[in-house]
Amino acid sequence: MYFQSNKVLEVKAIGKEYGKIKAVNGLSFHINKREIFALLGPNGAGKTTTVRMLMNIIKPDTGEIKYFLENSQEEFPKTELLGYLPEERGLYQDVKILKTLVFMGIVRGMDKTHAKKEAEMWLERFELSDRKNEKLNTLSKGNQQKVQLISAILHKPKFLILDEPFSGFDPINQEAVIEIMTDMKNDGTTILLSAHQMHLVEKIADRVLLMNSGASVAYGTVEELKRDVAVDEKIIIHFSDVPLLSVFENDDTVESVKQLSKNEIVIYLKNKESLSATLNKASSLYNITKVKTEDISLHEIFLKKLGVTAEQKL
Amino acid sequence: MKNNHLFFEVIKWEFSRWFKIKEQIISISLGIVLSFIIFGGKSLFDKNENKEATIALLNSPKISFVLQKDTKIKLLEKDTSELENQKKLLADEKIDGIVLIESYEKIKVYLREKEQWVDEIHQSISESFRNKKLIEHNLSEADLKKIFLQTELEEVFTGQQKKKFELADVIAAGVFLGIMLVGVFVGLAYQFVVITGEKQLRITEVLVSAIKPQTWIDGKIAGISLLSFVSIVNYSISGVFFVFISQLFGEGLALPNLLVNPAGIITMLLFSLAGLLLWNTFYSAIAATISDPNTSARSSLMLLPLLPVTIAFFALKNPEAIIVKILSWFPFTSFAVMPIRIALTHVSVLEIIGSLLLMCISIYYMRKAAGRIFALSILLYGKEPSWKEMARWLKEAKN
Repeated sequence: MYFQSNKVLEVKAIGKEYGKIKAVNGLSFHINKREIFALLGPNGAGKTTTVRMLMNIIKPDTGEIKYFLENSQEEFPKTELLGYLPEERGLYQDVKILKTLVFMGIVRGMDKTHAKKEAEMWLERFELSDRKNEKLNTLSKGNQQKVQLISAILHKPKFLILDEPFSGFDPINQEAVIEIMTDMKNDGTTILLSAHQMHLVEKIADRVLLMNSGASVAYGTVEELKRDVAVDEKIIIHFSDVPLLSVFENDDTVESVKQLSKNEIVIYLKNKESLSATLNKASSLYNITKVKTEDISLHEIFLKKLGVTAEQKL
Repeated sequence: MKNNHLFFEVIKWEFSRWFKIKEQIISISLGIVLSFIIFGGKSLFDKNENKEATIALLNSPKISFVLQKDTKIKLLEKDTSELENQKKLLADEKIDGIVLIESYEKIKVYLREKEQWVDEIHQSISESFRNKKLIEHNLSEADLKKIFLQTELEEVFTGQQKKKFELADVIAAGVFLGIMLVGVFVGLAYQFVVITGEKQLRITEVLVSAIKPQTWIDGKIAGISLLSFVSIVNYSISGVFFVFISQLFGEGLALPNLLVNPAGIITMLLFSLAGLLLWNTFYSAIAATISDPNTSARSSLMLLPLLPVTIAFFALKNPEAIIVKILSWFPFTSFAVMPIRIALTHVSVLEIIGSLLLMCISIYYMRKAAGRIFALSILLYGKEPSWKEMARWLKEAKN
């Protein structure tokens, strides 16, 4: 039985076509309770179309979407259980901030008093409470984004979809958004986020789905994806002279090698155990001036999965 | 139940976003102030025109005439030889004018500028002349009346027309049409601003993730129709004040019969409301397909409401014409044409109910179509669906 499992959402082979373009093609995944699940992919990967299908804004041509937010499976849950921050977003520019937020709360099933109380609490948290009676268009772009985010989480949804939640925020506020997501997760909210800031997603996502051209490229925890790309460790070595890549490329323990600069290379190792052997080999051939080890990033996993080099911009 | 609650919340939201009680009060107050300026100004002007005038009368034929009882003219009888002297006095503004009576047939008036006393003098002397002629021809006033008496014509209507149209009713019907046109255009403007604005500001996607597009568009149509209706009521109140203020200054304007008859008022209100709802439903569907009203060719559709109102103006001339009868049943024109027929002729209750019913059915189906088009158009940023596409959506609609 579905509702006995830990799933809150199950997506089975959904597809959506716009004319001859397959925006989403046979995508399947599930999301567990209280997890932060990330949809990652370049522009045009089909993330927003997927999100819109999950929000019932557009219907999939094929496949099915099932929610398990209540005690039974449902095709689409009550809207008050869901929170949504779309990629293409905006709010009423000429309406007072608090009034807008209260209305957004009401349409998500809150009563007016509760919506007002929650809106004031969130405005306080985002240090905007002194501007609650001003119109939205008097705020800076960043602060407007904060109000937009509040409108999506005000009603404490059980399942929250955030499409590009970090867009428009400076690094400090991006961290604040991460903190809010973590708090909400701890309070029992399941979060699906779609983003391209992989370094931020990596910090919070329990599981990720990498998408490209409407289909899944990789799916699982970050650790699982690392295993999947067969990279366990990354070493950046700086030499006093110019190294030859082919010296390392032929090693069985090396997944790949890349030149970062004239004197600097990065070696992706299949397992951590081969680190010392690789370094010994490097030092026997060239004069090493600096060594740094790093975990492989989600961004690199993504590039490897797509077979794209870092220099090829996505 | 939840949808009903949200429907009313959307109405409240749309209405409260745009309705500003302060502005309504200012608008009515401005109407009152303008009415006072118009009638008060006219009254002051008339008063100024009726100031006392000192006139030199050079009456060599010694013609006798009588001025009005409350005349403000003071006549100073002078000899004709004093004409030049009087002209100097007139130039020095010592007197207001000179009346030189050469004969009954010829009077010459000297004056600095056109003034009302000239008409009074002219009228009095003409009357004296007329009396003189009556005496000469041995006729009485009664004889004169008989001479100019016209044939009496009594119109007995055997059709549905109640009576000969009274001017006040025709004016009232014309004013009603004007106000309705304002109401329809107010709704149209809001629909375009609200719906295309939400699309441009990317608000729609947030909202339709929480509310069914049909509920959203229904609330929007009702909320904006209410706004249009309030604007109609506002203009009507200003009109009533206009009439009352005119009466204060003795201008004698009167409220038309239609507005002092409760059944007439209710019928007018029902047709107004239904008409506004229908047109707002139509425009919500059109606006949902438009990305930018400044560049869309569909914006020209906003002139469409002029059509029923223009037709209704023709109905003022002949409310019993077959075409007018048909248009009083056609939903997009009946809101304007039927009230005109009701005001000017006899229309059966059955016909009124039938026309209203037809309009209600049209509203129901139009809102379904509007909801469908809205649901499918909201995510078409920067692209307008073709008429063919819209027709296909409606065909495929299962709701």
